[in-house]
Amino acid sequence: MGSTSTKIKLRTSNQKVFKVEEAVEVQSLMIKYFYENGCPSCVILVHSVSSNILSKILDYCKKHVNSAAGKEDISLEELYEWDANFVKVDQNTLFDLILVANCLKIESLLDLTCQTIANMIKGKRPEEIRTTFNIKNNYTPEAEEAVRREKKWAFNMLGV
Amino acid sequence: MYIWKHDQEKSYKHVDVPKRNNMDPNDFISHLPDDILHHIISLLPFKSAVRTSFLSTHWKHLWKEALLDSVHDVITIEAAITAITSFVDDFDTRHRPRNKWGLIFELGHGRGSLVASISSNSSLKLDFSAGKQEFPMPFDLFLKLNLAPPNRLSRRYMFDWLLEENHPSQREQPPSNTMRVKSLHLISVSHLSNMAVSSLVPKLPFLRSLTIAKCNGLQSLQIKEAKGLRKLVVLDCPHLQSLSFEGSSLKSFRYRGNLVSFRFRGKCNCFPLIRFCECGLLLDDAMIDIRQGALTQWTWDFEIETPFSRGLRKGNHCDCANKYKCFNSILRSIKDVQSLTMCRWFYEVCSFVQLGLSVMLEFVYSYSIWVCLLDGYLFFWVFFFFHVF
Repeated sequence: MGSTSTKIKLRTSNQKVFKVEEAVEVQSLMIKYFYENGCPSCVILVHSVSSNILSKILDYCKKHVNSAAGKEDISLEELYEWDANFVKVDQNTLFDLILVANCLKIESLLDLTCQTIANMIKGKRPEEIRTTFNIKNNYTPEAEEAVRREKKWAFNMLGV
Repeated sequence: MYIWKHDQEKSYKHVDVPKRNNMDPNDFISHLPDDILHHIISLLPFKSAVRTSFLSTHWKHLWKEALLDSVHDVITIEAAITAITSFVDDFDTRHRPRNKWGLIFELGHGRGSLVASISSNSSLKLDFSAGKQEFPMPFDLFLKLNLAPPNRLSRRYMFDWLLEENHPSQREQPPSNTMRVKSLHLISVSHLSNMAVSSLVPKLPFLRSLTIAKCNGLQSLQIKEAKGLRKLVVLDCPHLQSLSFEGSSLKSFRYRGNLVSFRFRGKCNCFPLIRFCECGLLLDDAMIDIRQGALTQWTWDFEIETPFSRGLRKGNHCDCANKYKCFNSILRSIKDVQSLTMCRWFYEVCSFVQLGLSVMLEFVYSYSIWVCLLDGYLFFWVFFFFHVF
């Protein structure tokens, strides 16, 4: 991994090619794997992801690698705040971020984005969650009642 | 999304997003791969995680998959029980790095799956229902408990206990962070799993409550050495014929199903000076719902378990030699209950008329009575009862 010349490239759906920099190399387990297993001229096609998502992800990786390496003078609180602002995006962007983070195996970004979604679900009523995410309730009334019973059982079981 | 290794001209699908019918095209979250949804759910508190099952059919089982660990390399039920035992032993009630509450075993060879889940209130649930068979084989379930003495035993029972048992669990107190399973729920145990379940039960010395439900094919249930067990619940076992229980601390008994042969070794309050024993289960909470079955063969036996009983002549108040005496035993069992639910009566014959007065006198002690009025006789009696008192 000592090499400074990066060879792996990411190509987005709008045919924009991103050079993978060291920042991403460190953060993404997937690209690390490609490096370690010797793939001299790999182009990873990140299908259905636009270039602005990918540049956002590169930003994230750079920020985290630089702060971890001490290249950037940023406190942990400031980094948290930066993260919090980073995920203040519309839902579609958030889902794209999740998919790419999952695909490139960037664990910290996956945790951050999934936690953001979890916060949108936490403590909400099912109707509210459905509205937030456009989920269509396709239960028949009988099936819904059965689920309600099962849930009651689960709650009784677990004493919550 | 695809990843393409350019040099080999070989592409492979990395994330498989199947087309999900019946979904709003704007419902992006449900289109996420299941492993991401599991990740999101595992970040939720338990209650919110369970509530996601309401969202749509796609979300129905996601929370279970997210909060339970899947085990694929365990093939036999015996090995699964061993894995569950060690999962319970390792379960740290205070320090929970992962939001995991149990194990799902895919047992293979048509034996279905087993779901084992534990909870914050120290209960363990073993659910075999995913491997349900259409034609259940008959089987018996024998549970010999191995309980540590309850904290608040009366001196008399403590004395019995020390005399009878040199109990291993008295000495081996586990560290405080480990989970002590206090209630066990057994769902859909079958002839394939009954032996394994029997072997698990003695490993739970802190058990206070036992629930057995939906065991198709279960013919006889025998629970021994259940001193210390406070609650027994048996629900919806349609082929059950006999239920035998030995334990003197039972405070709550709930039963739903056919009327079967009950055999209890309860306790007796004896007054040696007047040579009188009051025997029964002496419950606080009782529910007996026998609407499901026909009233055919049945018995209700009490064995006596007290040093005083030796001095009493045979045929005292505790046996169940005839219907009248037996009925008295039942009444004593429920005399002090604070909550009683009776659905369908044990006697649907006119012997009610003879027993009526004592029935009512005994019921005066009860605090609350819920009676499912399905039977004309019973309705009459309850009606009469409430008008007299």
